[in-house]
Amino acid sequence: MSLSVEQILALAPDASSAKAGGQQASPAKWSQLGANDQALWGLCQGSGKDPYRAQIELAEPAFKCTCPSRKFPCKHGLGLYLMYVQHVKSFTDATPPQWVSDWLQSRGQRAEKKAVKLAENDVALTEEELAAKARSQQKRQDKRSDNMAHGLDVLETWLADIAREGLASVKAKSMQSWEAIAARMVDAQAGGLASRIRRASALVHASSETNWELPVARELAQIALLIQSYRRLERLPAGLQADVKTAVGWVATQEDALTQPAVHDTWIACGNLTQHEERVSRRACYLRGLTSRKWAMLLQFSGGSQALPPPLSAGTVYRGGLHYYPSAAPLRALFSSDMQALPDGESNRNMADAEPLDSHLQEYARTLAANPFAGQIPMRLDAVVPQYVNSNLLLRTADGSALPVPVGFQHAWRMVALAGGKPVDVFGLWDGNEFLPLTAVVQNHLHSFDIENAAST
Amino acid sequence: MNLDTQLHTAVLAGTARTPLTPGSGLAGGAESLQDSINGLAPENALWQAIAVHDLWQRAGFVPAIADAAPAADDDERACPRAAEQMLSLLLRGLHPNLLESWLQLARSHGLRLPHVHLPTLLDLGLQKPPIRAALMPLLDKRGGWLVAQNPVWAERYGVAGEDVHAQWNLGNPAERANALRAMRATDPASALIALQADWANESPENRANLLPCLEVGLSLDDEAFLESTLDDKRKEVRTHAQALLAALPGSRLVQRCIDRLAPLIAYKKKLLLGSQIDVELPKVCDKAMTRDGVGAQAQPKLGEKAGWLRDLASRVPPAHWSQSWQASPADAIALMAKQEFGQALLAGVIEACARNLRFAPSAENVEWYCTLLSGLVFGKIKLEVPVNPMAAFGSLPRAAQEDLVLRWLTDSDARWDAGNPLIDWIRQAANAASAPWSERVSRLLLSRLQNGMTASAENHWRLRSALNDFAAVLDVGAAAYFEENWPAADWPHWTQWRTNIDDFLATLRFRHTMQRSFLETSA
Repeated sequence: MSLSVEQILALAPDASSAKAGGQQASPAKWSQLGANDQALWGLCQGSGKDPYRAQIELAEPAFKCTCPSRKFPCKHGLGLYLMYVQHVKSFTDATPPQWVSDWLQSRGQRAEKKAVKLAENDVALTEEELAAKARSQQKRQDKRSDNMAHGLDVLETWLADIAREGLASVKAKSMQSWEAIAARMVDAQAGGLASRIRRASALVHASSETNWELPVARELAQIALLIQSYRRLERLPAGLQADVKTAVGWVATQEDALTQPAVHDTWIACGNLTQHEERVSRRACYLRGLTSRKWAMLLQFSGGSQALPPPLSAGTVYRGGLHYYPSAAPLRALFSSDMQALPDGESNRNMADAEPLDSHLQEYARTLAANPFAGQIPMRLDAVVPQYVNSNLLLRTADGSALPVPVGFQHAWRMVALAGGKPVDVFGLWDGNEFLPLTAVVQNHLHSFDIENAAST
Repeated sequence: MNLDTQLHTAVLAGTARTPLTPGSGLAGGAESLQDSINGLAPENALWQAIAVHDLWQRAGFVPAIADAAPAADDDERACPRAAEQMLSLLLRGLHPNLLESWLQLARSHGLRLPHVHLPTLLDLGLQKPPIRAALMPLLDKRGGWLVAQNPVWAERYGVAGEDVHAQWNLGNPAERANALRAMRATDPASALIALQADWANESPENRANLLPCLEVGLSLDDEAFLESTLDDKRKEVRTHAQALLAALPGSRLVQRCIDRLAPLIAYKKKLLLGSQIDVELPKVCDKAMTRDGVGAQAQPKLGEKAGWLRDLASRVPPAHWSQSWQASPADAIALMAKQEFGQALLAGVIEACARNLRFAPSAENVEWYCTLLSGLVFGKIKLEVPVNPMAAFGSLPRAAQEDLVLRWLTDSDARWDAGNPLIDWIRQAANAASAPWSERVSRLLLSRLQNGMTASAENHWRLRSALNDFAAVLDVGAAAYFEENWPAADWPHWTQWRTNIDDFLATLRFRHTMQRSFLETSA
């Protein structure tokens, strides 16, 4: 599988890395370049005495380089990949040298070990040990539940205060009072609520538009609804229980997902949404099952200054099983170990739904009915025309119905330029009010709209 | 999202001021959800009611109906995938100064801009006039269609075609100037009529803004009108008119200046001693001279009267002198240089070359300019008066530019030591060049450069700082020649030179790849 220049540059952790990577893609900098079906490798002369050994495993793709850079992938890795796309003839060597085959082998072993460990996880324990483990787990959970219940009481009082005073007077309050209650929620281990509060705070303090209060009211109302739901957790259906817990801040574990049966299909990566919040970066990669017609979302996280792992490039095709996390409207999922990227062009990528807009909207209504905290759902619109009406971008279907695109969408003009007033297929996220485009297919060519939203703060 | 009025008021003003009555806000079918809210504290009831309302609306979203808008019609040739990739690298900040070259290549191959990059390019052009100028001719059907939809772009890029007359009549000053230039380009005569029609009623700012547009398609047909604007009340208008008329060979203004100089410059042919000229300074600057722009500014390093002489000389085509003295440009220049007021005359003649080359690049004008430049480059003429002799270099025909640089390279010392001023001249020529130089000139320049590097490696800042400018004009049709003949890897001075040469070669390689990317056939 080989990526396009755009796709490779999209793997870069930031813009300056992309630029530096481009500068590395020059034949003079490289020696002993080689490639086979599995990997690319080469020596790159840097500022040090010995050249850096850069290598890429193509399937994932995974990068490794001996340079001391903390960026990942580093500019040499990106440069090597770009070299491969632009100067494939320079890659004369087909037998990997020792340092490449060693790495590939150790990667293989590590993956195996991980699988084995996962399988053996619970088997090795005696019944007593299992019981002890369950007890300590229960104890931790009880403690956390108490802590959380107390935090929710505080939050409810805070919300009641705002309701009594009204949002008009809230605008005058400083950001600190919002940050204080958000921090209080983090202490109460209700991180989901904390980030909703921060989002609402950003809406209050960043916007000077009229009607700013509507999205704020909506966000706060959702928080109130969440508190209410969490208190009645036992009375909710099992799937919705999981949704409410996740929304409040319980972290679903991989084990939770692995207990669910795998869904096997051919999956097409449709688009990515990256968000930076506080000190955490989060990327959602959306996939569509070719025969199951199911949507799935993979989440990637990174903390601090670390870069996110490379996204699933839109257009890449995977085959294998997926485990959905428990939910009333399952979306978040985990790749099972048999999932593999397919080589280019091996599968039919025609994702055309040819479904009318109405059925998409009904699908959203059904999702909300099952899980009122669903927020956005992935949606693919066939043959819509991006057009400006009164300086707002709309996506217009053949019968004239139009979905609004958020005002802050950075690639609005790019989308209009690409479509030229003609229908295009768009993938994106629908939240019941606005459609956020993530990719568009124009004349069989896929364009990604790199969206890097700094959510809150 | 919109809220029921009562809910909206309550959430803004607070439930303390506007208590919520039970059942309010949940209209239009949502009443059935009322039960879930009953029995809650009033503050909580407000939030729950809003949450229910919000979910109800999102689940039942009804799309608005929008009218179809006209689509762009496209039939232009798309550029090869490889060229598009080079453009996206450029826009990502790699070799940003080569963006203009990319645009020129696209234009010379008759290819359209990749649609996906149009907005980025249009935005860049808003801030950078050279990019904007390079983009304008590339704004094809899709580009024009897009520009018309965005008021900010529409204002700066103008819209070609049927809208020109509408823009001329109704546009803002910048749009009107663009429209006038477009009209001049297609039909100079009727554009002049359009300008004259309402000239008297235009504001002084508009007159000053519009008059320079006549430089497009300038001819003697414009002279009568321009002559009348020499008496305009606004100084800028007069200055523009003077400049245009002075650049128009055969205009009455030019003739008046020739007539004024005739009694001041006497040519004497002596059989044995060679020829000479005697020059007197003008005694007065009368109203008629002021009207033609003489003496408008004090000329630095020249007395007042010598300044008038320079102004007069700058309004006479240089060809006039070689014709009336029956002398080659080289001889005529030598005669002037020997003269007491040679500095004023030569400075004026250089300006005259610049004016005339823009509108009438005749062989004679080109020869005058090239002779003057080479005289300065080789130190045969010395100029102490501040004037920029390279200003008109870009107006020379390409072949003449090349010939000059080639002559400078071949006729000069092959060893480029650190003090060689030729490097600066060639550097300025490189910056003014309208297109890359031929392989012959490029090879020669590169070998001089490599020579100079090894000749005085230690302290050659002049050469090092010129490398970037050279990298922009060297021929990149073949890549092999610029990879050769560099000092060996163990050359002791590499530490000083490594980064500069790496950048230099990176630019050349990028240009080479870029040039070839347009030749690929895969779309």
